[in-house]
Amino acid sequence: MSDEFVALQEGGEEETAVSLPTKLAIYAPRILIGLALAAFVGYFVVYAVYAYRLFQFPFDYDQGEGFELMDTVLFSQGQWPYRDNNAYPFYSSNYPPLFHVVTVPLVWLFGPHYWTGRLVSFLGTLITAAAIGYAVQREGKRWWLSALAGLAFLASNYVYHVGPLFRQHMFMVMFETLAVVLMTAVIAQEEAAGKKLNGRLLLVMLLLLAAGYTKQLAYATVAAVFIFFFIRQPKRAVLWAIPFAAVTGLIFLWINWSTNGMWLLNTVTANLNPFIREQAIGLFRQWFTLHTVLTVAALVFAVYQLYFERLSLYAIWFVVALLNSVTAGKWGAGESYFATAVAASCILTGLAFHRVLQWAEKRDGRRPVGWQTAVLTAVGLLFLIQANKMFHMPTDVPAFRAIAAALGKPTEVWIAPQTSCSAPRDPEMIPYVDSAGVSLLGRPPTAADTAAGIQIAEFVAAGHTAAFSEDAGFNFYAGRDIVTNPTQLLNLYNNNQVDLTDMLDMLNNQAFDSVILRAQFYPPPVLDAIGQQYETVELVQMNGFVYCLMRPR
Amino acid sequence: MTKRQLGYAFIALGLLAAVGSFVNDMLGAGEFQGVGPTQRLALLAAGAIILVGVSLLPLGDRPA
Repeated sequence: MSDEFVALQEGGEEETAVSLPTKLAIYAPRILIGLALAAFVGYFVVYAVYAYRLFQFPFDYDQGEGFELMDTVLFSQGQWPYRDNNAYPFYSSNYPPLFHVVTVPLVWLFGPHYWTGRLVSFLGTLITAAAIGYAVQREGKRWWLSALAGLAFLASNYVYHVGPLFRQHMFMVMFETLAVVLMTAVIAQEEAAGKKLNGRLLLVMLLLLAAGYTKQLAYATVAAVFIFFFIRQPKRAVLWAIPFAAVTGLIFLWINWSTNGMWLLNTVTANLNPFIREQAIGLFRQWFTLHTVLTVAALVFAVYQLYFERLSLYAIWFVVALLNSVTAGKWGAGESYFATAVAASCILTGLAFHRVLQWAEKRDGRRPVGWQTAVLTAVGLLFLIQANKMFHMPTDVPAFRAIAAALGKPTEVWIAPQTSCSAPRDPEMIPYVDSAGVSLLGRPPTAADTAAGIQIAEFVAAGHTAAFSEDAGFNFYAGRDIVTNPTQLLNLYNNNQVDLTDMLDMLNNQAFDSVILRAQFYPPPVLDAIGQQYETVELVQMNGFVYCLMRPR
Repeated sequence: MTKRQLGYAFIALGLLAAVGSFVNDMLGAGEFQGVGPTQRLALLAAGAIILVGVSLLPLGDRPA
């Protein structure tokens, strides 16, 4: 039991006849914080259920997962995934290697399964939540506040959507969070002890390096850490920045040399995508609407630190991550680009509430009811408001459906399946509700989705060649080559960095027995060749997408 | 680093951002004649950064 509750209880026991309003004032904060904890533990159960059901689904849930599995398979065979897109199988990765390398042992042990990377990513989010909780606990020493801060991260709609996918993004956020939390602790320990802890600082640098070689977007966190370091110890920050930049650059040059320049082409040039202003503005609005309490509390605390005390690394990290979230407006980017800002805001919110509680404690002394009661009540209420704003729940689980109904939330939504290569379809009932609105992610896959995936894989297996497919999963299932990474090809095509001659020759010669389209991500000349040489013979719906199954004309 | 030095750093950053948005035009990256909508946003942000910097100057030698 935390101090303020003990103080309230002891204060209450001193009274022989406690009035009802006083009793209410004593117990109301406890009830509200208990309810908030229940709500966020509930979100964790929802998250775990979603993750477990995704682990069982053997096909792409999010377009691109299969290509990350392919990267892992190539690493498990001792090959680089940064390859020549101009030659068969026209495949290359556009992501740094660490997440896939970490997943390699699971692929060696169990084979190329989607659950391997999904499990690694999911565990990464749990570690991030634990690090957030630790950061708040280190300063606040209130277990319930630390738990709420960590659980709030897992309850974010964005973390829920992306956390258990075979995508490297949340693994990057894990390294970023660990680096920032450790850096804060190291500098605090150094300032308290008056001596330098270079060994621990080296660990921070390694975590930052790991974040950057998990996903390029980590540059913002690297910048935040060095800005903080420079503000506190300018000369030492520069002395550490030089070897850090040198090691980062040397690794970059080594991979580029090992891959004959394919690393630079595929991870840098291919990521220079057009910026869509409306997409960025829309995502910023959505992020703020979903995370209002966390964001406002974090912003207020950051501004307070700017003017009234020393800036913490958490405040700098939050602001830099927030500014960097504007890159969510790039074509191919999305909501997950806000995950770092969400992690930072969870820590800052926890610390901000701790500071206000500390202030109230000092003001009240041993009074049973006073500022502490008011602040605890407000904290409980604010976390409940935040929980309500983040509402998301698959309602095909009877208990979840009952909870949604009891809370007055919708128990289903009507969404038209996504079509690109077939005629539009009527909306259908989806047993998943989400405050983020119509979301393509978050709805757990069903037995019907698995059956649909197997049907498409059997369509591929009925031919003799690999399918020219926008998802890798069907070729994996049928034991065929993984051919093309469509979004990568489109990015390179838009930057005039790919020669499609061989690919178009193969399509024009109907060298592939089947073509599977989901969103028509291929470059226009490729789609033209497919349209001329192949025809749709079957439509299969999986995960809310209508796949076009094509055979040569 | 002091709050005042941090203020100067903010002002420099804001000026750099404002100049950068025009350099972008000189390099031919903009698609609008005059000041475009994204450029206007960038200039507003640069102005806000400069204002924050100016507001930090009176805080003097307190540690940043």
